[in-house]
Amino acid sequence: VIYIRYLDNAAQDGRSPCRDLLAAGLLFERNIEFARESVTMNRWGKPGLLHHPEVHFNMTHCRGMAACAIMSEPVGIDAERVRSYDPNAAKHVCVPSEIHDIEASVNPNRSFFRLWALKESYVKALGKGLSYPMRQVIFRIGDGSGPPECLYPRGCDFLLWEDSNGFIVAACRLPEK
Amino acid sequence: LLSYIRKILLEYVDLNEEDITENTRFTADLGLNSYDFISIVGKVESDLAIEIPDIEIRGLQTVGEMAEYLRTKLK
Repeated sequence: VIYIRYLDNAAQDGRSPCRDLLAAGLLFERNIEFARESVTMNRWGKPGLLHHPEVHFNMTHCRGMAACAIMSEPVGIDAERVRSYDPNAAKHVCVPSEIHDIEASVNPNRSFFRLWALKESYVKALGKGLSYPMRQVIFRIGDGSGPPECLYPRGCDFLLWEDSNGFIVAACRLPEK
Repeated sequence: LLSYIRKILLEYVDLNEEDITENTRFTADLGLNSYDFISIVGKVESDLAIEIPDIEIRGLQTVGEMAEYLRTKLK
């Protein structure tokens, strides 16, 4: 299950919108009271629940949005708002065929951030953060009119959600072992 | 270099320049997300006409580490 919440950045009142979403989701989906749980971190900082290792979750936020995914398999989620992308950054993230497709697409900024969010969701599902080279996750973008197709790795479930205000949320569920 | 990195970071965070020290961590202290960080790396590469390999990006956790890395790279 994926929870998405639009944020008014001026009215956060010091609370973490991601944690609020997670707490609500855990209670609703699994009858787990997050405030009573012990949170663990793997060596790259991916959180988990000490007493509920069967519950997998991931959180993300960007300016104006928070999102959280709760599943029974390892999951990663990323939220982005489409803006101008930096070609210098893209070369750290994309293989040449992806860069070509982005530049040739009808909306290169949107194509890039779709790709970024999808790749980031996979890396977050793995739980390895920036230590995992994003160029090892490869998509075919085409002309950008449809969702990117994952060429590698195979077997993951990807979800891509977009709204008309330029928000993108991507989630990746790893295959069961 | 420290001043240069601070100026770049001020485009991403709402802080005073003096709040950013060599010990400031990009994600834990400044709240930068992964794209912000890669974008900063891209800007540094473009400004200084250098290339930072992916494997070396992973070692840059603090402002001081990035300044030291660039100092060595530009020698």
